[in-house]
Amino acid sequence: MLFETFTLLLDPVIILTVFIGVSAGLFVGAMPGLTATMALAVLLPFTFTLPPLHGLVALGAVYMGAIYGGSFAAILVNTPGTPSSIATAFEGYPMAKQGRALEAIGLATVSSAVGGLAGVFFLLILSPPLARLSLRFGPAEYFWVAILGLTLIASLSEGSVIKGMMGGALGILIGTMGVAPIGGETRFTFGLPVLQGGVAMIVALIGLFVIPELYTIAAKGKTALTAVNVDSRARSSLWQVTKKVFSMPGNLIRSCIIGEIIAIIPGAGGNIANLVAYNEAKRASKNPEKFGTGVEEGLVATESSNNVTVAGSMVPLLTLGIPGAPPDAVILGVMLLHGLRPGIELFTVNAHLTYGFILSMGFAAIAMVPVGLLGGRLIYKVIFRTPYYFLVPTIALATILGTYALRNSHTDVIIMLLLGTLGYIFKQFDVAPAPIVLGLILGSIAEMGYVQTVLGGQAYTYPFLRLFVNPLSHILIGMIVFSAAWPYLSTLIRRLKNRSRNNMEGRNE
Amino acid sequence: MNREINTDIAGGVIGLTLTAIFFFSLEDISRLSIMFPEAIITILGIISASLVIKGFVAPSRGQIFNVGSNTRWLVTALLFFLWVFFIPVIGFFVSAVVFMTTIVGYLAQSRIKVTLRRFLTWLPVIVAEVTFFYLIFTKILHVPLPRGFFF
Amino acid sequence: MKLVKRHIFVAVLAIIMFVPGITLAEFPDQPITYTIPFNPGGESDITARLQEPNLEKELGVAVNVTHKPGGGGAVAWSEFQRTAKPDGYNLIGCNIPHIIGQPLLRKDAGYKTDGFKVIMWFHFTPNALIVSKDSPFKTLDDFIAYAKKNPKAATVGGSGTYSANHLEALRLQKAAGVELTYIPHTGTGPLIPALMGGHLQALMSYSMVSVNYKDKFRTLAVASEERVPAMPDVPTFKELGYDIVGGAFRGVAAPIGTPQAIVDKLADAFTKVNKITALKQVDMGFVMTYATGDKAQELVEQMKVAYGDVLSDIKSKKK
Repeated sequence: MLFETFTLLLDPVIILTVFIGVSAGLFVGAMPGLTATMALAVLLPFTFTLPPLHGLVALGAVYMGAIYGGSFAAILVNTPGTPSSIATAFEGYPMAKQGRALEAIGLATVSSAVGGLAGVFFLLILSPPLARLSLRFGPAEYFWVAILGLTLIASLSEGSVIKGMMGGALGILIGTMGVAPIGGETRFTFGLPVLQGGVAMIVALIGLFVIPELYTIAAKGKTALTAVNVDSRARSSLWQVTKKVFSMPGNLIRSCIIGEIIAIIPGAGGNIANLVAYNEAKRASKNPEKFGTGVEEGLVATESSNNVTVAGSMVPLLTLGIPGAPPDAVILGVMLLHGLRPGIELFTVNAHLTYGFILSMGFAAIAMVPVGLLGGRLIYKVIFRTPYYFLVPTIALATILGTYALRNSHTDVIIMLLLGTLGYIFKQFDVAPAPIVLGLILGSIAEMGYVQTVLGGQAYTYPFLRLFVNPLSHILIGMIVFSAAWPYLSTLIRRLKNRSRNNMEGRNE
Repeated sequence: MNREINTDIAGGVIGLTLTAIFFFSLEDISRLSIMFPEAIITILGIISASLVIKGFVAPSRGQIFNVGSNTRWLVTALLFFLWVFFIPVIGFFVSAVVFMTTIVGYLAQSRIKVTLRRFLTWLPVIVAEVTFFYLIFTKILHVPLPRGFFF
Repeated sequence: MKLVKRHIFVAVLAIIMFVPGITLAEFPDQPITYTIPFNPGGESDITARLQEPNLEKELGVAVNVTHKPGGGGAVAWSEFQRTAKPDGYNLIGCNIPHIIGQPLLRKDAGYKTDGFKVIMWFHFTPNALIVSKDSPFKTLDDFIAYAKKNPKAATVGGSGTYSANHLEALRLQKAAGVELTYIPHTGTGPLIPALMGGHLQALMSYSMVSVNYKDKFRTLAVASEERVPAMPDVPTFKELGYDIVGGAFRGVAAPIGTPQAIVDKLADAFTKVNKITALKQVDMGFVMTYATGDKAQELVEQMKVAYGDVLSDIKSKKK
């Protein structure tokens, strides 16, 4: 069955579709502000003119390329092209500063391809049990997932944890501007109807990451990129980066599993997966203090985990009709219009189509390697050769356009610029942008989880106690306690180890 | 120039200011809409206050605004804001060309001597760049970019 | 002086004679922007995407669908009423009851219900009360009986606050004399796993959900005048003794002041296109409406009355 479908995909038109889709996705992903969801929506009318399989293949390829393309901007200009590569910037950009840009791009490419393939594997093999797991997440669990996510602040705040917490709380507050998700009233609009739309997470993301970087480049009078040195050029060949990526199997497997688990939670996607995978890579590392200075493990973790979510989030989509991430909503729409209803029928009556679609995402993951390496080198050369006084307005142009296109809103551009300028000032006082963005991502999830749980418990005497009743909640609470206590635990363990080693050495003398 | 300050106290004061801004714009709306933001405002206030306290007990000091030329980023920021302000007035295309050229000219000063001839070589590059993005966004992505007096 | 007057006269005459003629003869001669005030992937977006190629064929110009989500549609609607030129090249998707509820309940939604020139309402997705297949509620009576015995214990999920779903749940409470707990979600998407996973007891959602998930869910009643073609076995609330008809109407509007001839031409094109999209949409649980001209305006008034009771209840409670 699978093999038969596989031969179906060897059609040159399909292969061409995959390559074009991946390239288009790459462009979209590399432009801050253009999201995978938007790219898919633009593509939608075209897919109606194609046969269903071709249409779905195109959508899958664009989706895959877009999530990967976000890493270019992250590595080369310290700006996540999509929210799925926030943590890529933490390691990729320092690498580029050290003249290891090509190496970083190579690592990101191979990790993304591995992640993409892993997602396809999970989708083919583990769909039914994973889909059932995704249903266990109710409002109380969402609340705890958000809190668990907020414990990442400790590792994202570059130094002062308390300043990170301040940034996180501020991010959550910015996220509450606009219409309340529950209750429906508008908050913090300061009397302006345009603020009913609130601050979109991506607008804040672009502002907080790009604008401070542009100001820094302008103030310094030069870009931070360093020429690729000979040593690093040798290490950036496809063979060398592949070897490097596979030299950390534990990291890869861990990141892929994290990516998959987050992918099946409806509403959470690559934007959270990359941060969690990064955090876990840091926690598992022997030298966590080196993270943030261009560590390969961190880059591999984020880029593999976010591409897992592409096929991974299709698990609940194809089996239950639940979009695991926002772009999946568009794919669901296309499927319904072609008369494909999610569920068991997809895997029996329409098996060729479904398996064809799934396998084509694997094709797309592989196609990313040649497209990405070529494209990556090209983008690197362009950015490196451009003098700084040209680079600043050019990035600003792309940023303004991307922000505008997100919701066709001029207000969003103003908000982006204001937040970015504030972000530059915050940075002076060691308040990092990452916790603020994390607060924005997780704040609305936490709010909805909390208020829905309390609402749903109206018939009980103490509605808020409903947060603590489900077994899955208990597991999540345990993880939160562990995650929050880890920094202290790890120092304690290290101290104990040192002491026993000292004791041993003492005895040997 | 030495611009070393106590970043804890400064950060905490910024935090408290923001807490106040959000607190005073809380409106009287239904409990469902307000209970979560209220809780977060309280948390932000507590964190900011404890940051100030930490600033007195165990301060961390750091240099601020010590990267390169402050005039240069301030002028760049100003030009960005003007650019964005003018987009709906003179249209996306014209404003992009005008302000990109201005920014290039301003920033290039620190590296090279800016002459009219240089401007004349920059202009076509900028126009080509803006046209490239303009066409992609309007023709392929169908984003209706703001128009101004001219087009 | 006389000469000037004459010039003005000629100029005015020319404008009266030619300008409408020109616009009529040539409309449309440039791309039309069709704004959807919601995120891509929703029902409004998918409908617009289905219409796009057919409209282009019908009108002979490009039709660009763009999104401007935010504030439950209010961001796009308020900007549209403030800035869109009434030339027929700016259109926006409109939804009832959104455009009725928001201006009434928000402090400043930034737009007015009557500030649109509605071209057409193309379809209606009635609300439906849906439970999981393994739920103990087999009929609407079972559900109402449970809710009567256990006030506030019956949790009903829906999309949004003061939305079509929410208002319908409130009307059901009033009509049946029960206390439900309505839990808002952001959009229809998150409702599906919430019901499947047993985190809610019922949904007040749209007929499409009933149709698309018919293997997993059971629909107790639908809030339409007559039974929905795609699900002939499902009774209406009316049949069961509750006078509840409601749901979301989707349509398209131009700015006030758009010449009637242009509006008519667009209405004509949308009507033709609606017949084509109907082929796909009827099976998905949509009820096509074809309300244009005065009928479109009447529909708004009619729904204002239908929701008047619950809306004024909410308003008085807020004060």
